[in-house]
Amino acid sequence: MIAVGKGAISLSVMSVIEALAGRGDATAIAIVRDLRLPRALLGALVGAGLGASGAALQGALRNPLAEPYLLGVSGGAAVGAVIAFAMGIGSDAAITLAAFGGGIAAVFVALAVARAGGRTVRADVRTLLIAGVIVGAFANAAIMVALASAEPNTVRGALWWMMGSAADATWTRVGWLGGSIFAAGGALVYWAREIDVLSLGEDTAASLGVDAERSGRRVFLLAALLAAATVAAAGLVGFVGLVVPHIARRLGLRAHRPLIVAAALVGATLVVAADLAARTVAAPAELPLGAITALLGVPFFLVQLRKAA
Amino acid sequence: MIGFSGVVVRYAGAATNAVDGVNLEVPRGRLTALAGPNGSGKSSIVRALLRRADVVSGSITINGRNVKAHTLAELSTSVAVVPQREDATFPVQVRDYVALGRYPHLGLWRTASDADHLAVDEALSQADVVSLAGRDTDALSGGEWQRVRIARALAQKTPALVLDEPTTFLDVAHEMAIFELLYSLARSGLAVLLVSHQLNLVARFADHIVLLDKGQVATSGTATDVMRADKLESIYGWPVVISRDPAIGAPALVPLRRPLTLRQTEV
Repeated sequence: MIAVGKGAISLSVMSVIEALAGRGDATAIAIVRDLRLPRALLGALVGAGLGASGAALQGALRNPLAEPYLLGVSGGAAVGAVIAFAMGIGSDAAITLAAFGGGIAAVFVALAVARAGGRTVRADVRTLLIAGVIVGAFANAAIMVALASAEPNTVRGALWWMMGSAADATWTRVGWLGGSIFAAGGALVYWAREIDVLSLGEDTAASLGVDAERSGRRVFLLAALLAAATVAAAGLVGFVGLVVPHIARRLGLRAHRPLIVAAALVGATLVVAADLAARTVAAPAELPLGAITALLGVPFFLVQLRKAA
Repeated sequence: MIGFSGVVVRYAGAATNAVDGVNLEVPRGRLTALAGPNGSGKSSIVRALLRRADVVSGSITINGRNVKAHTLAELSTSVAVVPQREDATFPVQVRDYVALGRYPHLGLWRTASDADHLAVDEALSQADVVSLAGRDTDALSGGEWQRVRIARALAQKTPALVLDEPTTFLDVAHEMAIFELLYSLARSGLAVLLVSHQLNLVARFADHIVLLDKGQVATSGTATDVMRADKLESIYGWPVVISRDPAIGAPALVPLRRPLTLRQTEV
């Protein structure tokens, strides 16, 4: 409600409610229904998707520092989007699709690299993480090559996209993202008990009837799907997938079914708040959303790293 | 209950077989022990049972049916395994941890029924960890953690139980408590297979001992059959004498120090 009300043009809570109900000032109705509400919802969905994805990945990979972007999803999605920008395909749908395709492709590349290096997906968590980092580095190089020969306007557009933003929210986008998150997130919640078992290690998982390789891969792909959908909808919003599961665990949740749900809720709240800050801190100018979440996330990451070491 | 027949396990790229034609029966109501030096293939046998290592020849059967014909889910309702290593990255409450043993029995929605809660209560009390139920797994001592892991396996309510070195790092009292627990579980009708380095304890508790060396069965039988100085010396490559447990007369292994002259030349 606050997120919908605040902005370059400030609206009172009452006028927001009136606008939602379809009464009152026509401009207010337009701002609330077509700009602010879809934007807040998109932010919430992005946060929910990244939070759930991170919670599932950390459990299945038994690594508190795992997050969807570390696995190459973000790099691949950025390559897809930048290539679309560089080729001058500016249409919204094309960029979204290119980013989604790029993200999923990168995950498969990372999986293939990891499998070449180790026996199974999970037997070599480290290999998988390294593979993700390598795919990300390669993606960065590809982005620079693509941008070096691009128009200045294209470069600006691509850069803004890479910094992450919920500003281009449309109802269509909210619908698509909501649908993907409901499907993939729902599947993760369904298989959450399996993630509990996976987090005990492969031998124990096998003794409880869970094929660690197969179910690890399933969790991995669902988490990547969630992340790729959010990246396609709002660009790169860093560190949410890493930080949010830890906050949810701090709330005392350990079993993955409530943990994934809580991570989705915490993520949604966090990204909506960060987006509100992005819109209002330097108003009327906007700060990139991804930069704000990263500014918050990096110190948190360092604290976790110190604890883990 | 569990039968190993001519089992050969070979890891990809290895020059020799990790397990080289092992025959072994684990009947119900008995405590069967698998002993042997480091790298003799004990853990590989456990891994092969869980289908985490390939059986290239021979077969492992459960009630006469080949393990390969079972799904992992079916297997997990017949045999519960406490593996040697397990690192819990994210601590959970002991009760929730033990409840994961019910995973093979959960229904479509994977939610716990009254029967599941009952099985967890029973397992907690059998392994004598009821008082720990509310603690976090990262706040347990080594001995408590081993008992909690055994409770998790007991919650599976399987007719067979396999434990790989469950008393590593435990002091005398905790070690004895676990051996007594396993003995009474076997006497209550479970088929118990215990992988252990602790020859002296194994000799006092196990009904049947199989001693492995370089992937093969070096000797097997009762404690008196297996605990022979000449055999053990050649398997472990160290001078030993066999003494007697003063209470029940079970054979006990005493490894000797090397002769003084030899030690001095080494230093």
